[in-house]
Amino acid sequence: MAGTLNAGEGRRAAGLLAPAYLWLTLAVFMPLSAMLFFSFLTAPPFGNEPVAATLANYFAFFETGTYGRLLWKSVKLGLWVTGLCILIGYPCALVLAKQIRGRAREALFLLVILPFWSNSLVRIFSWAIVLRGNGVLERALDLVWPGDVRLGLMFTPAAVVIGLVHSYLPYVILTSYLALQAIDDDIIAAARSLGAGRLTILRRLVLPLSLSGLLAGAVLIFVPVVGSFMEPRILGGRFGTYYGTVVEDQFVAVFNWPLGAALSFILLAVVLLILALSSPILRKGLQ
Amino acid sequence: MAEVSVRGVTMRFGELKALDDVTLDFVDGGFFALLGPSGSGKTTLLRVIAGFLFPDEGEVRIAGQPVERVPVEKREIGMMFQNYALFPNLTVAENVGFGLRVRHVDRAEERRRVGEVLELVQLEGLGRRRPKELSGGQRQRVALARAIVTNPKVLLLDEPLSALDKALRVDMQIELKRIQREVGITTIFVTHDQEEALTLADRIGILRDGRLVQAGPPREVYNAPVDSFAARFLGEANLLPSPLPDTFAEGARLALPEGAAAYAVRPEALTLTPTPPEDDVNALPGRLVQRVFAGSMATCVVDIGGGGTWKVIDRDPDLPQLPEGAAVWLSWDAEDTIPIGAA
Repeated sequence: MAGTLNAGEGRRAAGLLAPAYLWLTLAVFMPLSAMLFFSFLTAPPFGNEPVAATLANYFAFFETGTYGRLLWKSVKLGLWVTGLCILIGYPCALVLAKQIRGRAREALFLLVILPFWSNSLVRIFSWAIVLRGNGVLERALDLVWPGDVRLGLMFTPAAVVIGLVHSYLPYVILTSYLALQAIDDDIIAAARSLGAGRLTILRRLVLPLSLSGLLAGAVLIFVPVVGSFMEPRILGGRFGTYYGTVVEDQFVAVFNWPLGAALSFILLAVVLLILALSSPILRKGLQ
Repeated sequence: MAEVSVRGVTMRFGELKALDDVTLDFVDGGFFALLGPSGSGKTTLLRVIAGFLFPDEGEVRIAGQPVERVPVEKREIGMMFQNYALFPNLTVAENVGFGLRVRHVDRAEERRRVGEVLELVQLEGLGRRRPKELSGGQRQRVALARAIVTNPKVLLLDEPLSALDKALRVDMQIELKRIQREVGITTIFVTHDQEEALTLADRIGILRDGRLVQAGPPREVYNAPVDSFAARFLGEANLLPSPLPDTFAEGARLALPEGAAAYAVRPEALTLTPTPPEDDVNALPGRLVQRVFAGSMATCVVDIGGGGTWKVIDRDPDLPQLPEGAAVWLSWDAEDTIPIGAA
């Protein structure tokens, strides 16, 4: 692109891109640089303690196995939530894009996006009310099921997964929907005319042609879920210690910003590494 | 390969009758064109025959078997779509072999038949390309190859050539006809282009508002249209109402057969002269409105007082250049008057 622009067009492009770059600089690059800087300090620079440069915060990660175990727990959580979101969201997007037409589609879309309209904290506490012992879910089941129902979901990893899946489901639905929508209906009609059944069409055409959207949704979910702390804290109870909650503790409870910052950058590095390792698969899907 | 028959097929979309009691036979090995303006129901009829739509009433038979409730994937048809609908994630060979793979044909046999059919459509050696690396004409051939490789009972084409430019379209018409003859498959194709229908088909059916207006060999429909719609839709026609209004072209010399609802005269049957013709022919006076030169012929528009404007195709290159606005005479032989319908 850049090679084909003449000087005038280049200036115009630079002018149009300037607000975006300015925003990126202010909102992403500067805070991240500040955090990176903190992560090499012995104490927060605005505290009373003397401040010196150190690598100790990064070494702390490797000194005990705790951080590594928690990180692995968070990655597993990310995989679970992403997997469930795909299993629930992709069929939903498929039905929205290919089966339902007109006003019904608009209404369903509204329902899909609805979680985005409420404050995430309110959403999580609603789940707490639903899931807790003798809560909405157990009482509802009591009405239809004989005997006393004890699910004991609250303060379990399952509750954390439920809350996170609910929060992030719209991402995979929306990105998959866009990719599925772009598949020409005649392509499916052509496959049917050649004798292909639904499963063959899904496996050989629809899934490969919408994989880009599905993977985009998966990345959008996986990355924040690995670092999530609010859902684990509120819904997980004593099982709710994850990598994200530990990082949060460093900032708000322990007031050890340098360690929190270092742990954050280790998380960032690990997530980038995972994405890099899976990029051959991603790239194949995006073809 | 098989004959197809459609009996009393009616298809409703809500209030709208997309097909209204259509009965048509498609002979084994024939090349049939469904012709009509947009919204006439021709594509709906094709989709009913394909099995994408189940008719509300009536029956569809392929090779004698009633199939009106058989879904498309079980009907053993081949279909070519207007935009080709090639599978963008598969190569040319995988596209063409798709129907064979679905039928669990073994790989060696698949390769052999894909190679054969790619040769038939003159695309040998392009099997490894992706659809986006092909030209429009090549994509068209891939779509055709994919539709016929499974030896379907009938080949259905939905406006197959409309996405191509004029020169390529004419080439592809000849190609399509050659391949259809070679394979001998019953072919039904939908078009709004009457020239294409005349070039390709050995039988045509004209549809209007979901009803079949007329069906038959092109020459028959052209020479004996059942109504003014058929006359105008297949080729061009100048119409004379019956009876003629009093204000109609003063000085006209007409000898028209009795008992028709209207008469049509083809533009190419007309002769344009600056003076009244001597012979004992039908003649109309008028005024030359426009003359468009188009190589081997000129198309003239002549204003007939009280009778609207008539179109004349003039193949006489020696005709003196008449200025626009000049008084002219149109004449034609009695046998070129086409009576339409019964009065």
